[in-house]
This record gives sequence, structure tokens and C-alpha cells, in this order.
Amino acid sequence: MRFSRPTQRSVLIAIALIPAAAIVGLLLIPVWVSIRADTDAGAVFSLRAYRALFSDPFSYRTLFNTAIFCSIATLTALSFGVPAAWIVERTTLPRKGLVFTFMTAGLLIPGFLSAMGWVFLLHPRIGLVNAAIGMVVPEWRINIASPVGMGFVQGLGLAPLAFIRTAATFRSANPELEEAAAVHGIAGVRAFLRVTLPLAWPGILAAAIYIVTIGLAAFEVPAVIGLSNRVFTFSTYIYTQVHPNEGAPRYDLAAAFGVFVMALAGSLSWLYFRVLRHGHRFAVVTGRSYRPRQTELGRGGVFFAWMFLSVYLFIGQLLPLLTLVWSSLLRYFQLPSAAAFANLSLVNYRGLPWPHLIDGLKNTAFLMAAVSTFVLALSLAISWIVVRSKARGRFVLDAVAFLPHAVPGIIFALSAAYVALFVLRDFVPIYGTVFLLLAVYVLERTSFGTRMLNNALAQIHPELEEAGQVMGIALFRRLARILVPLLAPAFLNGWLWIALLTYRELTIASLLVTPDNVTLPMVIWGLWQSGSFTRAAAGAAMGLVFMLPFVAAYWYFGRRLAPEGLKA
Amino acid sequence: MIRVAKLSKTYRGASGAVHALREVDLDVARGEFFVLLGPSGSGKTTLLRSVAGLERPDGGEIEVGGHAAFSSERKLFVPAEERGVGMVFQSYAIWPHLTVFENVALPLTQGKKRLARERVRQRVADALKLVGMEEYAARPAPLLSGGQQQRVALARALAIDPEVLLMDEPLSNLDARLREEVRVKIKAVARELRVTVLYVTHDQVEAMTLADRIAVMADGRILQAGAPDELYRRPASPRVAEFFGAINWLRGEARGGVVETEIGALRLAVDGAAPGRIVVGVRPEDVKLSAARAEADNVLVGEVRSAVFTGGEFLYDIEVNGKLLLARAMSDREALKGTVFVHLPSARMALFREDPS
Ligand SMILES: Nc1ncnc2c1ncn2[C@@H]1O[C@H](COP(=O)(O)OP(=O)(O)O)[C@@H](O)[C@H]1O
Ligand SMILES: [Mg+2]
Repeated sequence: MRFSRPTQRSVLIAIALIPAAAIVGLLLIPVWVSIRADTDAGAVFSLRAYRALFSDPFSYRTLFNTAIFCSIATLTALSFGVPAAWIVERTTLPRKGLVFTFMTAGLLIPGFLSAMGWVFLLHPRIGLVNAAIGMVVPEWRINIASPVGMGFVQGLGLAPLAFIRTAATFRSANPELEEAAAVHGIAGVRAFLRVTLPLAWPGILAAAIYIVTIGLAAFEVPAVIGLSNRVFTFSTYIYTQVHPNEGAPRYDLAAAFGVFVMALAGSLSWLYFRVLRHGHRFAVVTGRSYRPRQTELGRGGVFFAWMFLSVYLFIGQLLPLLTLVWSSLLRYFQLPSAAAFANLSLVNYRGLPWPHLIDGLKNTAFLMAAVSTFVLALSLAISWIVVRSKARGRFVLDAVAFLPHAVPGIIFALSAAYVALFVLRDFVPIYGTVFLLLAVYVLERTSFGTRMLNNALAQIHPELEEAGQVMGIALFRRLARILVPLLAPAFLNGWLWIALLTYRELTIASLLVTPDNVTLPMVIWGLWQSGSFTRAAAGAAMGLVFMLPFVAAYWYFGRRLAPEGLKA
Repeated sequence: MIRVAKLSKTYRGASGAVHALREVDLDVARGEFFVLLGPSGSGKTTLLRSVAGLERPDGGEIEVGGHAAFSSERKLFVPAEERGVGMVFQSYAIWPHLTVFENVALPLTQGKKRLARERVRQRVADALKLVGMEEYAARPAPLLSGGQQQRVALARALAIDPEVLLMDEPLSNLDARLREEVRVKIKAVARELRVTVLYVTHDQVEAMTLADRIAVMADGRILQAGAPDELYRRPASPRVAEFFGAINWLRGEARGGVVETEIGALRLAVDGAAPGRIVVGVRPEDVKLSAARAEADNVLVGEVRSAVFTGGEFLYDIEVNGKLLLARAMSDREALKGTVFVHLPSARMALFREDPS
């Protein structure tokens, strides 16, 4: 029997509702877990976990650390990202397309690898830079294992995101407003301060809020740098409550903290959309396409601009990775020197737990392919309903699909771990399998997939689909024969992005991986946690090598497609 | 072939409700070329899309090809893909990832009725031949010009062999010369296939030249429907009259067979018009000018204020008793100058009761 349209439509709606329901479910679980306790008399519900949480100084210290960490990360990201965006979009700098490419590529560098590199550089005892400083001023040290230090490292990693967000703002600025200022005698620095900056301000503010939201949820940098030094932020707090060094896991405390942070993240997202809407009032959408006014850079300006960009590319992207590779070739840490070069060896590589590494690589490869494919399929269903259908409640569906972006990934992992361990255990033994990772990764990335496809779909004239519909082509055939081919570039790009984000994913894995479903990042992080730093560096270097083909593929296919809605 | 009864559709948005269709009735006979004419925003597209099944009306009924397609009373809504109509979109909606051949073939291989390979090839070839695009079958769609895309869209709509063909402003994206050419093609093809056409346009000339019948729409209503000359000669309201080109309006007071207007007393074709305020409409070409007084009713004296030569004719501004009348006359002789006699034939005057407002 051939489906007629209403039934095909209902099938599509059902497909879209599965992830939406799962997302809502996973977000409600922390609430449930935080108020429930098992006693001899059965389950009781109370606010005990919240009282325990908020009477513990450790919680406040963690919150304080998180606030410092987040602020420094946002400041660092904006101080590199915003000027870079202005330089690329609003000046006559030659060859600036290159900057765009490097900045986008910067988003792909796994945060935990950079963090490892920074530990080798700035660890209080073993850091290369600190050793160098110590030779000059023995009592001086830069401590990377502090909220400020971690915030700086996180900020360097988020600078490309600040760049991409604010570049869009500078690009869409209406040049006539600045020309009007120029005509009335306001020029140069005064025009920049009085006209350009106020106009870009809502965009910058929105980018800042966006980055704060990501900083709040950040796990990798605090996990690599902070955990071993007992400096906790929100995500690592949850991790230690579930994987404590001693005693039983405290799901209730983790969940209570999770609920608190969810509320915080929700407010930030609400603020983000308010600022964006406010910003659109200024954006003067005339429908005309215009080129924003570009500031003429003199020779000095060009030199200064390239200096600035190179400094960022070097410290933000190259230095930590080079350090990592360098360290992986040493038996113990030492500054680059003739003696050190003579000592280079592959001993760390030979010492890697290869069977384990290969297992991780296999699982990761499977996840990359499966997650990308499922995310795109589900996102197509959701985005089609949101953008194309007139189904009631489609905006709610859209908001739900966005939630995984707003809510820290560690909370999803916490909920999924709880469900898999305590609810599904007996009838769907999914804990410890790669399918649990698959499911949670897919839900987490649906926010990215739907943001991207919402945009891509909006670019496709609805009459292209309607033409097929009127001439008798049913919904699924229209999707397959008309929409998917038209969306092919977006699909390819999104597929590669999701695959690369899956490759580097550590946050969710940290709570869901067991020896049976280990992923590549978890193997590397495991080596790091066990204290064999140089061997972890070797693993990390291997990780970079495995990544190269994908980066090359991404480089080759449309790297200019701005990763809208990306969660780094 | 197409029957629409009491069709209503209201769009509700943040800025309030828009009544796009208000109880519209429409009847299109088999094989008829029917044009919906109206200014932008009058609801033409909404009506056409409702017939296609792309829009779901709030109330009323639609029948297409003798089958009920929509009925609010019976809660019936046949989805677009089941209605079997052909449609040409304003944007042409040519699928850019396919060739010309594949564009026309896709509905035949993926649609409601799927044909065998050989039949598809034959159908596509026939359809492309009909619109004169048979040589372009292998061309990728993005390489087509606007006029070619338009013809492929027509071929694609016709290839499914529909009883009803819907077109939404198909010529509005073409430049003026091409528009003329494609218009002739559309008319010829429709005649040849005897397909029932419902055609939307805001262009009065396009409507007059294509239509067997026209429905004039405004504000979600059909003001009047009829043959082109009928609408032109006997408009049901001043709004309809104005839609078909310039017209002179004279206000006055009717008394028996005579109306006292601002330019003088005029005798009417019909005796015994009900007394009261009325408006008389006279088209510029019905304002007859002559240097010598004509022996007829309703001859007035006027002054030529300006004469503009537009090629085939002169356009005059004639002042009659202080009011300017627009007149149009063939340009086979010199333009008239100075004082002229103005004849307003009573058979050519359109009378409307003036609104109390
Ligand atoms: N999808 C829609 N949402 C809201 N209002 C609409 C929509 N489509 C049309 N309208 C409104 O309905 C009215 C009729 O529109 P339309 O049928 O497109 O007119 P036409 O084709 O005669 O220009 C207009 O006022 C238009 O703004
Ligand atoms: Mg229209």
C-alpha cells in the first residue's frame, strides 16, 4: 500500500518526536534524581540534596571557580576574536581569506589536546615555560592549574567562535550609517567609537553570552588541567560526584547541581535570544546587498594586523600542539636544546596500550559515521516540520531541539548514565555499549544539525517542493528526490563537522565510557589521568594524526560555511 | 471543472488577521481559459493555492475535475499530491539539480501514476516539443534563461496530462518582449490541449488577451466575473471599470432620462433611471471629438488643452465647462486644436449610483 500524504507526514512527525521526547526526558531526570532518595521505607522525595549542596563550602568554591573560569575564558576569547573579525570584515587587509580558514580550522582542535600542551608549558612544577622562568627568577611561577589559567586556555580555544559570531555582525553592518557619520564630519577613531562599535555592540554581546554558556559547560580543559590539582568547575564537579576517588557516587548531589546550572544556562539562552532580537532592530535589513565600508590599512596597519593574527595563531593554536608533539618524543620533560634533541625517541609510542587504542579508534570511527548520519536524518525531519509544515507546536519542537545546545553536555551524560544504570538495566542492557554513546551523542548534536538545516532549508524556495507536491510526488519521495539533493552541500558540510566533533568528544564519554565501549579521546585522557603524561602526549599525537584525513576533507569541501549553532 | 463555493481563508499573524479570501464563489467550465485579475494582495494566489491543495482554507468547498477536493463541512481535504492538477509557479520552481529532461520526467517517475521508461521518454519528448524545448532536453536547469525555464515549467505541468492547469503570474518575471511571445505560446498550447486553465495575473492586458472569462478580485472578494468585453463594456462597479484602464467620471443628479452633470445635462440611453446622485463613466475612446457640430444627443463644446501623440493615436485633454476630460482618437489626421465639439454617446456611458459616503 502506498502512503497518502497525511500518513507520511505523521510518520515524519513521529520520527521528529522521538529525539524531542528523549531530550525532554533526559532534562527532567536530574530534577527527579535530585529530589528522590531511597530509604528503608521506600522512595521519599525531599529537598535534602539541595540543602546538602548549598551548605557545603566546596559547592561555593566550585561556583566561584566556575565564575572566574568563565569570565576569563570569555574575555580572552573576545579580545582575540573580535579584533580579528573586525580586521577580516572591515579592513582592506590583503589575503585575509587565509585568516578565515585558520580561524575555522581552530574550532576543530580538540580542547583537551591543547589543554595537555598547556600543562607541558605552564605546569607549576614541570612546565617548560615555568622552568625557563625559574632559571631567571627562581621564585616566579605561572600557575596554569588555577581558574584564571584554565580560563585563559579555554578562552584561546573559544576565540574562533567569538570570531565567527562577530564576523557576521561586522559583515551585516550598514555602511550608510558610517557614511552618514563621515559626511557629518565624524571620522576615524571617533567614528569607530561612536558609530561602528555601538552598532556592533548587540552582536558582540550576543557572542559574549553564547561563549559564557559554553564556558559554563566546559569540561575538557578543567578535566585535563584542574582535576589532578583538585581545582573544580561545574562540569568536573559533576564528574567527581559520579566518579569519586572514594565512597559511593552521589547522583543526588550531582543532579541538584545540574538542575541549578540548567536554570542558569536556560536564563543565559533566554538572554541570548533577547539580545539577538534587539540586535536585529539595528541590522537594517534592506534586502539590498551591500559591501560594508572597509577601513584602509596603511603599511603599518597591515604589519600590526598580521602581527596580532600571528600571535593568536601561534599561542592559541600552534604552540600547545607543538609542545604536545615535542613532549611525546621525550622520556622526561626538558626544554628544547641540543641535548634534548639527541634524546628524542619513540619510546612513548612503543609504550602505548595499542590494543586499547585500536579499540577506541574503532568505536570512535563507528560513532563518527553513525552519529553524523543519524543526526542529519533526525534533523531533516525536525527542520522540515519547523520550517516547512504548518503543524501546530512546531516552534516548541524547534526550541526542544535547541535545548542540548543550551544545557551542558555533562548533564545529558549524567541523566543517560542514571537511566541506563538504574532504569533500563534489566530490559535494555545498554550501559557500557557503544550504542548508549551513540544515542546520547546524537541527541546532543541534534541542536547543531537542526540549526544548520533550518538555515539551509530557509534558503530553498518552498515552490521547489510544492511543484513536486502538486504534481503528485509524495512527501518521502520529495525529500529524497528534491530536498536532499538540493541540500547536499549543507549535508556534506554538516556531516564532516559532526564527525569531527564526535571524534573529539570527551565530556559525555567521561560518564558513559566503560572498558567495553572506550573511545579514542577516553584512552588518551585515561593515560593522562594515570599520570603517564609523556605517553598520553604520544597518544594525543596519534589522535592528531588520525584526524588529518578528516580535516583535509573538511578543508577541501566548503570550509567557508559558517558553523551556525556549533557547540565547541 | 473547477467549482469554488463560499471559500474563506484568514491568515493570523502577529500583526493581526488578514482576510485573504472572503466567501469566494467561482465556476470554471471544462476547457475554459479563466483568468483571476486583481491588484497585489487581493487574494489571487491564495485562491489558486487553495485549488491546488497547497493552502488549507478555513471554510467553503472546492471541487476539481468533478471530485470534491475540500469541504469544511465534511472535514474533507484532499492533499495536493492527490488532486492531479498541473501548476506553473511564479518562480518557475525548476529543480536546479536536474536537467530539462529530468525536470519534466520526475513527476512521471516519482508521482502518483508511475509510467514505464519508454512511456516517460515519449511523454517528456511530446511535452518539450509542445513548448519548443525539445533541443534542450539534456541541458542542466541552471543554464536556462528565464524564458526557457518558463517553458520547461509549462512542459512539466502538462506532461502529467492534467485536466486542470494552474498558473500564478507566469509572465511576471520575464522582460516585456519575451512576455508577449510566451503569452501567445501559452494560449496556443492551452487551445491545442483543451486543458482547463486557471490563470492569475495583475496585468489587465494579459488578462484581456488570454481569457475566455475573467474574474476581477479585490480584498479577497470577486467583484465581477465575465467575458473580457463584458467586463470592459458593462463593469458592475466603478472599481471594476477603473481596473480596465482610464475612464472619465462625471458626477450628477438623475432626473428621468436625463442626468445633470458637472459639465452639463446628458441624456441617458435608458429612460426612467431612479432619481438620485449617480456617477457616469465614459472611456477616453468613447469621447468623440469633431471640429463640426455632430447631429446627436449629448454634444458639448470644449477647448483642447493638450494633445499628445503616442504613435497610433492622440491623447487629448479637453476642458468642458471647467472640467478636464481625457479623450483618445486615431491619429490618421492632424491633431485638433482650439474649440471642438465633444460627443458622448449615451450607449457607451456606464452609470453607477454614487455611494452615500
Ligand atoms: N502565508 C501568509 N501569511 C500571512 N499572510 C498572507 C500569507 N499569504 C498571503 N497573505 C496575505 O493575504 C493577502 C492575499 O495575498 P495573496 O493571495 O498572495 O494576494 P495576491 O496573489 O493577489 O497578491 C495579502 O494581504 C497577503 O499579505
Ligand atoms: Mg500573488
